[in-house]
Amino acid sequence: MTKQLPPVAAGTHPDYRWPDYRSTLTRGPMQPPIVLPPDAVAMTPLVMPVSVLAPHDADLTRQSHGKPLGERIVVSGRVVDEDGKPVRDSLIELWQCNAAGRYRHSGDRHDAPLDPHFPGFGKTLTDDDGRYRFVTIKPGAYPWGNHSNAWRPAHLHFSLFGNLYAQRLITQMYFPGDPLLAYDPIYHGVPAGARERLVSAFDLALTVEGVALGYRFDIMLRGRDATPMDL
Amino acid sequence: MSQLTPSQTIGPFFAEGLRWAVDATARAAGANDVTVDGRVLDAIGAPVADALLEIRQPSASAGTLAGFQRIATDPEGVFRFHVARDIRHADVTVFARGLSKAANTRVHLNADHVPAAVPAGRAYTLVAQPTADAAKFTWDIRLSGGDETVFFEFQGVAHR
Repeated sequence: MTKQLPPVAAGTHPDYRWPDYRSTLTRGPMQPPIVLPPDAVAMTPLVMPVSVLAPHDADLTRQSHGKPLGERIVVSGRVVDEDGKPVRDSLIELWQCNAAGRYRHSGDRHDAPLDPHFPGFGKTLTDDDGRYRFVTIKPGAYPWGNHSNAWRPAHLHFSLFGNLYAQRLITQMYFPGDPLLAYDPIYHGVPAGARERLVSAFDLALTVEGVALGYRFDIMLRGRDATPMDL
Repeated sequence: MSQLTPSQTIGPFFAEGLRWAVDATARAAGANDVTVDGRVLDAIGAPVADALLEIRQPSASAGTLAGFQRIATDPEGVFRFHVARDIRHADVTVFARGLSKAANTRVHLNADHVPAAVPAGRAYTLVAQPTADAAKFTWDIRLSGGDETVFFEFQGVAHR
């Protein structure tokens, strides 16, 4: 069990305020966070039993009586802490738009069709080795109002609980070779050298013959096991 | 060399996908609970209609999702959650479109419990205010600007 939270290295996360992503300027905190030692609540595991999972939660192509449209993919990887140790039995939530670039959400006004067979969300628990695996549909690109002719690159939203409150992370996974990455201010809000970690890798070993291409997306959460010298 | 995975915004379209835990953790106020009502506001005081809050407080029970509540703000930026009357604090994490990473804060029911590391002039942002109803408190979260809520980053050795 993780016992230490080293400071997050500079250059890891996007700044709260990033002018190219406009809404950060009204919503991003201006004051630096105040550093606190993790308290008992922050270091308490959130128990996530298998009972939180519904059937087919990890296979987003099987949540309807019919098959969703689009390119079927496998997305899999390993969740580890800063020692490289597996983060076990931890909840991962996934949500995304469909192959046409449309979310099942009342606020999505993009003129692209909904897919009655693709809700676009799922969840799973990591195994004893920290591994997870989703089957889903490759999401489409979609326009957004941030700037002229703005398009989000294809992405999956990931929500990770880790084993501790202090490990909580929400992020986005991208696809290798996507030309829209070069223009995306959300991706570019992450400093160079770190943003590349958000781009999954095509992996023939995860590819299921005749069924689906495989993409690998490994995730590292905060926290170390090391016993400090003064204890 | 740490290779921590960077954060990205939750974006505007999470509600359907994350609703299961809003439902799973919804609860009526217990006899020892108080209600905290408030709004999430941006730098110009506009309501943040697409924020997600996650609340954690100490829990006597070890059951599923014990001590955890997930709440989405409504179109007016309004939220409501419940905390035990005797807590020193509850941890509150805010996610929203335009927030590139989680904003971790705390709500206290008693100003004496605000950590000493918080500048005296900003401590009020962490203290819910009592109302005429002893079971109801009010507390707004201001993400940015003049009355900005204090946000925290946790570092160090686990307190045991």
